[in-house]
Amino acid sequence: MNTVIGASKLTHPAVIATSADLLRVKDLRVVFPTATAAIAHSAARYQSVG
Amino acid sequence: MLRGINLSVKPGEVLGLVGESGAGKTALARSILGAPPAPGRIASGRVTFEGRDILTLPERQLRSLRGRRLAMVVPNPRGELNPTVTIGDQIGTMARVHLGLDRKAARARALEMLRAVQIPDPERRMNAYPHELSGCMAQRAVIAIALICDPAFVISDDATSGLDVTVQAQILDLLRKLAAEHHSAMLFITRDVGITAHFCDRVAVLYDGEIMEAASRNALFLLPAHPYTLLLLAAFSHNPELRQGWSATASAPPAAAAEACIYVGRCPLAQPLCRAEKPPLAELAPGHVVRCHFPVRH
Repeated sequence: MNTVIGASKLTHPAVIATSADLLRVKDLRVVFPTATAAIAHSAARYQSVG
Repeated sequence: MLRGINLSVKPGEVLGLVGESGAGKTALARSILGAPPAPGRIASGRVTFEGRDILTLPERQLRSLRGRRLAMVVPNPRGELNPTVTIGDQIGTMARVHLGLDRKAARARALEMLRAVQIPDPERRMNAYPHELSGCMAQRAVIAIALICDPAFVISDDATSGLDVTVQAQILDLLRKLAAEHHSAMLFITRDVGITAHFCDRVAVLYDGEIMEAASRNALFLLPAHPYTLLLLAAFSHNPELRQGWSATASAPPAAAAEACIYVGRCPLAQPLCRAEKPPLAELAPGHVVRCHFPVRH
């Protein structure tokens, strides 16, 4: 059975990032608008097609 | 929504990204290419590729980077291929636009790629239209388009999800072989944890827009520390005890308070601290990070 103990307090700012990295994503935040704005966006797209 | 995503990929490395539908896998993949799915937008953060911040590049430079150095293999090849253009021309166009080859040289390179992706009778398929190819062949054609320019980094977004299991294995082997031959690094996105066990060097687990755990393949599968990772592994396990102990408790991520851990509503190990304070991404061992106040120790 697995046992649970307290978490390590060693915080890690980036996931295993080194200078040899080809790609590095740092603190990326992507937001999506509210449902109303998303519906308006979809409606505008369909209108432009039609 | 994606929040505080940190990850890195070394040259030639395959990083697996697993998570359920709606976790943000495709949004992350497309954001890495500088094109988050509309109407989403990148609010903050950096994406550095070969030392350049992709998110600050002008669109013209970004376009030359996409396809040439960064490529993406999509899950729905029929939706991506142009139905009115032959397969040979579609693959060759990439070589003409990005490598500056003339039409004849581009067609020769396209034929070479069709052979590399093991499409039967490649000379004939060069003049075929997408609707004349099977799903498997169309997927191979998309892989040929992605790899024709020897990209340094390939994103495979659930590229085998719509294929038969036997074909899946062939496509995965092919993708891995070609990526190794071209020395390409890869972000391998999938909902199938089992595939990552065979295919990836490192694995990151995404849940509701946040990375919950990331580690080398061996560490993640042998010593999973986050309760969500354990739940994912249990779902693919044949061990009834493990499945019983770690089964999903809700079909969709329940809403969590802003200050709480986002997994608290589903977590069988949740404690009062988890509702009061969001856990940071903490290092359990070198290269093994987990976002949990009470990671499971083995």
